[in-house]
Amino acid sequence: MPSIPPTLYSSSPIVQLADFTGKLSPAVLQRIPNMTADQGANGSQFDEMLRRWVGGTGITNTFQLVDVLVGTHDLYLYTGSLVVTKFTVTVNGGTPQIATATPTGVRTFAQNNNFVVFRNLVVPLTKRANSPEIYTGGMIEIKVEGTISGLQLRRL
Amino acid sequence: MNFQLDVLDGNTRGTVQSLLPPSAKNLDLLHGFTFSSPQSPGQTYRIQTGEHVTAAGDGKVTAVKRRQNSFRHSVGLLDTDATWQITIHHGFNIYTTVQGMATVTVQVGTPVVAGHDLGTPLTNEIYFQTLYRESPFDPASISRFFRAYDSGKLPDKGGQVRQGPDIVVRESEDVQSWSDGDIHYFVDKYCRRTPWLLSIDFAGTGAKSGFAVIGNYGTDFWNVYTHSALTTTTGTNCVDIV
Repeated sequence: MPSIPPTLYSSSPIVQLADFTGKLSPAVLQRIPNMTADQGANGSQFDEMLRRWVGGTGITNTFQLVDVLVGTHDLYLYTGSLVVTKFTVTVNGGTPQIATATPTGVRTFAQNNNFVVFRNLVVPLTKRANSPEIYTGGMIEIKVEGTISGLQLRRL
Repeated sequence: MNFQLDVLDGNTRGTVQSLLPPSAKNLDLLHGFTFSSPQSPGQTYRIQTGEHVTAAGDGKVTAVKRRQNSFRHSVGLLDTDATWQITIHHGFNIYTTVQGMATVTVQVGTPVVAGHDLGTPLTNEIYFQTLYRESPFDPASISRFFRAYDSGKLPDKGGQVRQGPDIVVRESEDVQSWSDGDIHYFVDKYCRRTPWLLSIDFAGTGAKSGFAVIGNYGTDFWNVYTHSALTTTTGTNCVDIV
């Protein structure tokens, strides 16, 4: 019987996530190779979350939120750097949606400046196995061309 | 303060203890009562969005004045715009004032009961004072209703004071109610809960909590994502034992 060689990761590809109450959530953050260690900081940003970011100019990082609860969600993506950042979001491999943040260093939250929002993302029930039938939530993929400081996903 | 609280007689103390904070939903206590600098001879609250200001207890309105906002408040509209201040006499020389309002629904002489709708705030901050004759005193020194909840005991309400009674007319939909004796319960018809929310602070330190553009509570938990390079290599096939 042929065997498949295992893939070895240089660091953990999966981050377990908790919801707003701090209780463990079924959703996990999956990191997609290849990623560099690039990140940056600006301690004078007005919000704690915006003061650090992952990525940089000309760098692409891809994350997946896996086993997201079934329902309709709004997704907020933040960047605290001054790097123009293109966010591409796909739900369960469907049609990509794109939004670009063009930061100017404003001192308040401003849409398409230091954050973008993807509204009404419908996450359907997903069949993971046929026999026995196993259903889970969906997957939201987030491609970040530039930098990302924060993420908020709210089920409506 | 030119009198001692402990000289107040039973009727006066009882009147103070019957008062409740001036909103039908929990208020964040931003600045407590103090005569130390910067002085705050009253309490400044953050009122929840859309909530009306209510009477702290039964009494009669004795003054409605438009004044500059000399109380401690956040930088913004309250620095430039005067607001309405309402004074209510609750009996036994106990008065309350509430300031920070854009609109008022009462006038001098209007009798009020606890929870009576007084008007709407200009911003999300209002100022509340309790006075004996004309001297302000700390309501928290007499009534526990004006002390902020301990976040260790009530994590969702830490820093907030108790909500007052509510006879404000509200529009409601999808609500069902039932009565248990004199107590009436109102619940969401569809048992909807607080929206589920997931927050991640990329390259965060753990210091972030609460709101960004959105949020449910000031205590909202943020996951910390620690970044590192991620590459893959192909491992060695397992040896097949025949």
